[in-house]
Amino acid sequence: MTRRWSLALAGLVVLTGCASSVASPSSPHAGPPPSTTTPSRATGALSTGSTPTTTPPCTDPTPSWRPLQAMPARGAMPANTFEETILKRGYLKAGVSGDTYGFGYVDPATLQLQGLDVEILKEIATAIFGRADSTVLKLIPITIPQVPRAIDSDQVDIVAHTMTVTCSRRTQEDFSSVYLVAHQRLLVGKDSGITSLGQLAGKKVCAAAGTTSITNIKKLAPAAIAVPVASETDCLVQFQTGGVDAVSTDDTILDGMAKQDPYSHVVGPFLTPEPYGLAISLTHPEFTRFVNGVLARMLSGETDGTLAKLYASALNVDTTAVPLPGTTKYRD
Amino acid sequence: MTGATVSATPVAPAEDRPAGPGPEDAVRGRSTAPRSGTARSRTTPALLRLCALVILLTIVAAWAAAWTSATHRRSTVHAIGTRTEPLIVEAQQIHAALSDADASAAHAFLAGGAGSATAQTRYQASLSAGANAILAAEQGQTSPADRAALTSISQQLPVYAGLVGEASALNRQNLPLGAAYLRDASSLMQSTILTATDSITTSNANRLDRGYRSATRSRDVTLLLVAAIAAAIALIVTQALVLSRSNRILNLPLLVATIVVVGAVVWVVASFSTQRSDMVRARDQGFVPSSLLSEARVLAFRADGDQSLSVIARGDGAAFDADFNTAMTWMGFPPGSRPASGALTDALHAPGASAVAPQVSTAVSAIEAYTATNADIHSAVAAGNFPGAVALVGGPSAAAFGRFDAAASNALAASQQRFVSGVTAADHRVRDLAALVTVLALIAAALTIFGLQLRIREYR
Repeated sequence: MTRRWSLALAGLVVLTGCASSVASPSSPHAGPPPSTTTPSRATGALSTGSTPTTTPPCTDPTPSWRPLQAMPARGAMPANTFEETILKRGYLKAGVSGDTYGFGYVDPATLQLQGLDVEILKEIATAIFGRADSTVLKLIPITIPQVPRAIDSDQVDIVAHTMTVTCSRRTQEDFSSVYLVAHQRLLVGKDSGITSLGQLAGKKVCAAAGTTSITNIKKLAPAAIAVPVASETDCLVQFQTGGVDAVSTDDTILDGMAKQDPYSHVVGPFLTPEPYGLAISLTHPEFTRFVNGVLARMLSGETDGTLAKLYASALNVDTTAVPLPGTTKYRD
Repeated sequence: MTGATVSATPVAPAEDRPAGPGPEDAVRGRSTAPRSGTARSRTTPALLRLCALVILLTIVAAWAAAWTSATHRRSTVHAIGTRTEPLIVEAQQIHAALSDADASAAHAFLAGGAGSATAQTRYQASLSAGANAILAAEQGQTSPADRAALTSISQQLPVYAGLVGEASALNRQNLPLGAAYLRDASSLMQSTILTATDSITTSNANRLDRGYRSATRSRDVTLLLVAAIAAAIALIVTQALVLSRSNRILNLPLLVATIVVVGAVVWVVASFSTQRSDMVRARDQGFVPSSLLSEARVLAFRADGDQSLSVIARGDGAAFDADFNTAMTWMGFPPGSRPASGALTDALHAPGASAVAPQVSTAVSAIEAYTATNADIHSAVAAGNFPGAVALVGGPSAAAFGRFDAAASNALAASQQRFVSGVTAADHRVRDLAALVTVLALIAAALTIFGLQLRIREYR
């Protein structure tokens, strides 16, 4: 439209003689109109990018390298290991989410990255350096789609990003042992009375478009009205502004939403399990063993901040409600 | 012929008076002109009456052509000046104010609690300015489509303000959910509200286009010239006839009538020409640069909002970065390459915009500094240095944007002023033209009748 006027204008700018008409004064800019749709956020689907684990060689992607028998002393890493490289470099480069509440997000007041994933990275930095301040732990905000490239290009040494361990991801990068097992559940209003999928008939249920969450809702609660949006956080906005009756995604994410909205709570059956692991390069199995050692201590409570305590604090839930993995599976 | 009943009693010189038959003989043409044959003198009064008729008919035709074209141009220019042009300027103001509000909301959000006072004030002021411009536009004469668009904007604006308020409240509670509300608000503004103002701008630009063509159409001038030339020829031929039949050297009333007709036509054509050049000036030095600058400002606000929203997205701002680059490209600054044709670069090179070239030039260098700072902001975000990124956004980036906006606003206001004054001047050129040609046509007609009546009486 605009382009056509500009052509009309260009052809008519020259004016000759008083008997000729004055040319069109319409919009002179040849570019597209200034106002277009604000981009919808290209969301890094949090734990929902899990792909079918049906490839014959890979039936269970979760077993990771068995940890070392004894952890090396802080500040004294074994020779010829990647952890030694990191120690010599002086800092650990870690990728985290910048916008996953409770796990990896920027606190609006301090503008610092924080959350459970950041706490885990601090434990790893402490295990290497004996401390975890910003000089030895460089946190880099990253999205899930950027992870393989960031690891391959050594932009980061490790990624903590509520990433589900899947067979397809395992072909691109290695994963630590599982530190949380999330399940898809429901976030509903405390006064809604909804406690199961069966009560969702005719109700609007929001989930991020293109995720397993929305597929599961369509499959398991066909009477519900599935509402896809760009990102899970938009679901909470819809939920608060009356657009939807429920939100469905991983309970870890829902815990973060419930913490931000005291009138909501997490209910429903535990649907597909989503095992979370830290992503590490396939070329550093010794570092993966080292990290698994740190995680094992956090899970067993040998360190100051056990994983359950950190989760309970970060997500504002009871320590008994933390979705810890049952038994940790390793490979040798 | 009514001219025959004119009761004036012109006193022709005695030697010219035909020898004495009574009035009853005049109709039979018995009177004898001094150096004319009887048959000729019998037909001369009838011929003169015919001449009078032809002259009066051509004068009426010329008057009709002049009156209708003057009236048409006046009403068209007046409609542009009182309806289309104010609405275009108001639509530009609405668009700029609301774009400003959206960018300021993102700035205020990014700065968080204490640091947000300036941006918060600017957000409130811009929202008010936008609402005032909407009210002003609603009070003007608008088409049903424009009215519907204005109503839609008025209805969406409180929703937008509500989302921004919620975002701000959540942000103050340190809840990252606020960012999602802000994204929702910005999306509503950019995709729904500003699109509606675009439709008003577009429909009125089209209306202005039609008005310009109508107010400067050549058909008016052609018709007028044909009728006026016919009147002038009739007057001159009649005077030649009178000269040859009566030995009169000069028929003063007919001569004056001729001068009046030719003068009136010259005046009308000159007025049309000036009106037209006023409108051309209004367009080339007013409308064109103001449209470009208005668009450049809106794009700059959009890019500025994207910059803040990208930082607020905490590393997940690729979509906002892409939109930032799009807005910059449309302004004429494609990322990573030399300046190209765009709203701001075109404004710098527009032939009619030389008067505002210094301000536009300042705006260009400010936007280049702004873009350079944006790269630093990117680096800070990529390194997870959010305090550094926020400091850059609120510091050098905001300062460069302020320089851009001050320069662009000045140039825009000057261009809008030229647009308005040009249309007003054009309106003045044709305001009293219809009345003037009516008076002059009456004078020319009266002089024709008077002048020929003198001659006709000589044959009584």
